[in-house]
Amino acid sequence: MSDHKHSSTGAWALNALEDAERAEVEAYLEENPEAAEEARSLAETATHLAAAAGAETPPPRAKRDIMAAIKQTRQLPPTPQEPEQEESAPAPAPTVQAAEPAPAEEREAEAEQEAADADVVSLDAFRRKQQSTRILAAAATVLLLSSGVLTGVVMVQQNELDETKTQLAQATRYQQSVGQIMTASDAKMTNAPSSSGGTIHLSYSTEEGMMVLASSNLPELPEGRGYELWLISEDGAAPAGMLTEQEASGDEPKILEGPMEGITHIGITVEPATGSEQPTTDPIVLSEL
Amino acid sequence: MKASYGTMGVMKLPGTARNESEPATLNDLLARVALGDEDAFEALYDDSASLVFGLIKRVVRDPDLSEEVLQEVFVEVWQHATRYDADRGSARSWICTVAHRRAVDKVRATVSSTKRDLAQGIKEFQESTDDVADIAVLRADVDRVLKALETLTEMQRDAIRLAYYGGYTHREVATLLQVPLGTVKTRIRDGMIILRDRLGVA
Repeated sequence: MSDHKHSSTGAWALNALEDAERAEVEAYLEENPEAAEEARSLAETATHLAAAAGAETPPPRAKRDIMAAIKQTRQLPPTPQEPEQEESAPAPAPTVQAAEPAPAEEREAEAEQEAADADVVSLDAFRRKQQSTRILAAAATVLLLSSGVLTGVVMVQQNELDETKTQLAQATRYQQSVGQIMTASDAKMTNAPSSSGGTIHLSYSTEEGMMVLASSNLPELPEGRGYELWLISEDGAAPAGMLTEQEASGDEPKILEGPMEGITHIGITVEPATGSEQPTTDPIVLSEL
Repeated sequence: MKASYGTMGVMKLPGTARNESEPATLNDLLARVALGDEDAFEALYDDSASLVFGLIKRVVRDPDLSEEVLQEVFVEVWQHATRYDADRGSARSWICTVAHRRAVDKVRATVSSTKRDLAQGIKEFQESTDDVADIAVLRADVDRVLKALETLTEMQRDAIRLAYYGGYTHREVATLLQVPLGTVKTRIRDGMIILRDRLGVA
């Protein structure tokens, strides 16, 4: 019987066990230091397989996003020293951590089910996964709330994690941009009323070449029409793109990057949804920078 | 705006500046990351990101999904560095484990809705076999691993590759190789033990 479990150390090390069996094997490892040591050494060996997959440098934006994400993410407190751990004489098996009760597990029955389906995560990792899901969602919530522009209900359910992550990525990018602007010595903010109703909020830094534009209460436009943004200099108005539906409704900010030297005004006109080369209507917003 | 500024964490904790005098090992870096050292985290990222990304891409394949997983992995490393226990394995091993789990999670989550076609799996596996042969140009370590893989029986190698690079469960591996589950387990374990001993893993 232990042979059957012992023979699973390899599959355990490669994350190839299904949920139920993994739990069995981990319970077995806790009781058997020798098997646990083998499992640990095989997991270490798997690291060499990882290297053999061939290193590939991720794109620079990945690092930027990750560095921004960790600035928004609190680290977990260390594993608490439980009294019963001190009392128990034998050290826990090296590869397996004593399972702690996972708080709020009930609330996440669905997440749990999905994690169970994934059948690769150890109890410890499963808990970590749940926790990181919650923290990711919490981070997204903080960003959404603090941005004051993005709104939306953040769900912590595992099956909505993807959506949360998209929001987080957006919110992170927004937050990064605002951060860049706010830390610039020439940071400026201004509100510009629209002549057709609603307001445009601008935060920008010429030095950083970065502008964040958020709209609120702009009137909805008929089918086929859209709001077009213009950067105005002595040379005239240069198109700076259409506001997407989300940007026009204020659900998402618009982020503009690039040199801003010489730009004196920012304008918005109503144009055909495909955009125009030059403004064809009077601006509803014209704001001096 | 002011309120959101406060959440951005642009300020560094005092006294966490990294000593640049000598290159730190991944274990040292992870220990400093556990203390909230963002510079150490950056160094750790620089040191391990291409290893991690290579592994993720091998399992996940889709570039966009792989980038997503990469971010999940490093955010998890940041969060959980405080709970990393060096007695349970090297920092590199821990990071690879996190990466592999996340990659496999992603693959299995994606597949659960569409049910992975095993024929497609075999095709991908054959392609990945070719890839493995092609990457000998990499570091000596890679070369050593590939050489060690060559000493395995074909069956052991197949089982390990399908499980690790394919992200399949051992049951799926058994289906793909058309052998009983117990046989797959034994092959994986025997193969991994040979690899361990060949590679001199402590």
